[in-house]
Amino acid sequence: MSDPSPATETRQRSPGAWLQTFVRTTTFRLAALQAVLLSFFTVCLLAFLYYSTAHEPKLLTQRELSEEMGKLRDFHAEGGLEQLNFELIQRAIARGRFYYYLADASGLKVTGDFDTSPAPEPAPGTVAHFSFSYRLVGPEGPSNRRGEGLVTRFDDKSLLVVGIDVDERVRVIDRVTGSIWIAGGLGIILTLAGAYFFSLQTARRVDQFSRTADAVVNGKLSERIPLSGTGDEFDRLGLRMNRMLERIERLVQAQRYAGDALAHDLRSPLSRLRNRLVELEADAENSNVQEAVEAARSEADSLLKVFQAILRLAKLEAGAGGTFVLTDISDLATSVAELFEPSCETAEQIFIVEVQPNLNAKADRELLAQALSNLVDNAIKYTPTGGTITLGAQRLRSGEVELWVSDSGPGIPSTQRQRARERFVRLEGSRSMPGHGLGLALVSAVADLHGGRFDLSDAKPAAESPGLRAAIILPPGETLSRTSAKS
Amino acid sequence: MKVLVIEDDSQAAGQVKRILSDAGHLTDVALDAEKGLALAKAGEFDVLVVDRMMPRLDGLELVRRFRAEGGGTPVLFLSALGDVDNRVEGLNAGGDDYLPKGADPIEIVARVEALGRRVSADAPQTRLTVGDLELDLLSRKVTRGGKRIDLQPREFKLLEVLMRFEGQVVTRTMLLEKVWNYHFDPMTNVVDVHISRLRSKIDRDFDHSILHTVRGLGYRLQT
Repeated sequence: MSDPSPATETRQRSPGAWLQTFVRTTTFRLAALQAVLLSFFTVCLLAFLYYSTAHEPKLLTQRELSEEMGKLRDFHAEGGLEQLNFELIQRAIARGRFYYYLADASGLKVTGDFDTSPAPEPAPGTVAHFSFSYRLVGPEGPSNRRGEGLVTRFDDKSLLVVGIDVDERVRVIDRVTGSIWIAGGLGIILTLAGAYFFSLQTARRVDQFSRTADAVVNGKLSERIPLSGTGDEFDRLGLRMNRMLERIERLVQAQRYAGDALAHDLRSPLSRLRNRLVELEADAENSNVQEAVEAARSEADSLLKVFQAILRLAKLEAGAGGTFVLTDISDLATSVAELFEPSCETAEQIFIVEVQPNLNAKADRELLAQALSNLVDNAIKYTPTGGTITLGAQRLRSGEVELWVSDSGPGIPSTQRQRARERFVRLEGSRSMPGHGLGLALVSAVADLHGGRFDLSDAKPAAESPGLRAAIILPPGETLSRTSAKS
Repeated sequence: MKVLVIEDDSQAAGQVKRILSDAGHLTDVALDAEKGLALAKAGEFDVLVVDRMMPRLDGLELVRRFRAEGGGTPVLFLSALGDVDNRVEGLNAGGDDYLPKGADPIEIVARVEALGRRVSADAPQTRLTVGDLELDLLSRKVTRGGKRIDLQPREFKLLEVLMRFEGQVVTRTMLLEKVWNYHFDPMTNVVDVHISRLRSKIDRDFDHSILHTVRGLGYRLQT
């Protein structure tokens, strides 16, 4: 890599710095936030699930246990250890849900399902809750099961334990909470992985933007941002940036060529002027000095006019100038038509005006009138005697306003239409005509400045002399209210 | 007519002075904007010709101050900034007319005379007369030698402008501005065609013509 451009520089950074940059990306931050929110949600879900599946049955078990314990304590209070023992034996025969263990004051087992007490020694005079595990030999063989129980030591120092099997319940709860933890963890991992992926994707796109910008900075104006074609927000931004770059490139190019074209176009009138002055010098005492001076002056005049047109065009192409207000386009078209109507008559051409009423658009009246004048002027120049020129204005179905001039002249072949709009271009067959080749360039610049288009087409396709239809299409404006129409 | 030229470039000022003096106007020059403003306020000038870009005091600012202090003398801006936008700036600052530098001498003289005349013809007129040609602004009737002449609205306006500047050259660009309100140069002979139409109506059937072409410059209505 011999090219030390800023684009390659970013890739040579250390992994730590890279990670730092990565963590700083907006996408990653958003994803991290999402992960945090997801964890919070998982915790809430867990709490809710725990409460609805585990907490309620646990309370129920505890209630059952204390009810049973309560009954047994009543028996003990009534008939002492004897009565209690009797009741326990009764229950052992009935084989209920509870396990029991009863020991006398000396600690000897009186009766019960356990060999020794599974419970820790309770505080005197209280009923203590405890958990235990035990071995059960069932039909499927022995298994370790979990239970819960209550234990109490009576005033006569005998010990009573009531237990209940909760293995099924605990198992269900364990499964539920376990799966919630797994799902939550997996969710967070997936979110982070997704964040990483999206951040990479975004970083890649942003990198493309940066690389293009760097290339442009380094003078490669033809560089464009690659588009993914998905039409996402990056594509939309890229499309606009590309359009901007295109315009910049075109302006720079125009600037570059304008100098050459200017020199080329001004050389002939300047040398003509010089020749006239030389003639005048050599022929000073001759009688037609007046005539030569006048010819020289008119040559200088036309030069000045070209200069003025160039300056104006340059300003317009740079996107400067123009005051855009809601303008009555119908009135403007009619006024230009009225200005040129006598000229057409003098040239023995038929002039038709087809202007729809009440058209309006945001426009600079002066610029638009000049552009339209250029079109009519062109039409008059290139239409033969007896030909027809039409000036029209209409609202298109799209809402755009079209100002058009069509003629019955030779037209411009479609292959040359693009060139016809460029500065100083004088197409074959028009070199003998007066003009400086800036007319259509100005129309094009004015259309651009209005955010519109300039279209050239055949007026009568397939006819022997197809004529030219030149149209300035303006973007739709708001509706003009009656009061502002007059101002 | 007394004209004051305010222009910092002595060569350009001298040129304008020569042009206006040749046309028979008493012309003073102020090479310093502030001195020019003082002269304009004190002196009895009919028209001021003001450059825009001057050191210390910009022409626009000069005219703004002049107007703010009640100065009513008509102002013609003569500036290298010759675009439509610049023109609008000039008129907004209180100028009455605007010409780019390098304008034809006749154009300058015609504009200055038109401005000078504007003050003298202050009272509203309803009837304009040049020789046997009469134009009634109220009834919009035109007669010559008592004979009624029918004119299109635009021809009427064109004739009105020419009559207001009787005996004086009115250039094509002045006509475009005053009759059509366009400030661009259409680079064609549109105005001439309109004039020749008007001429065919007001001159053709009469024994002497009053609408004269001043070659290369413009037109003049004169008996």
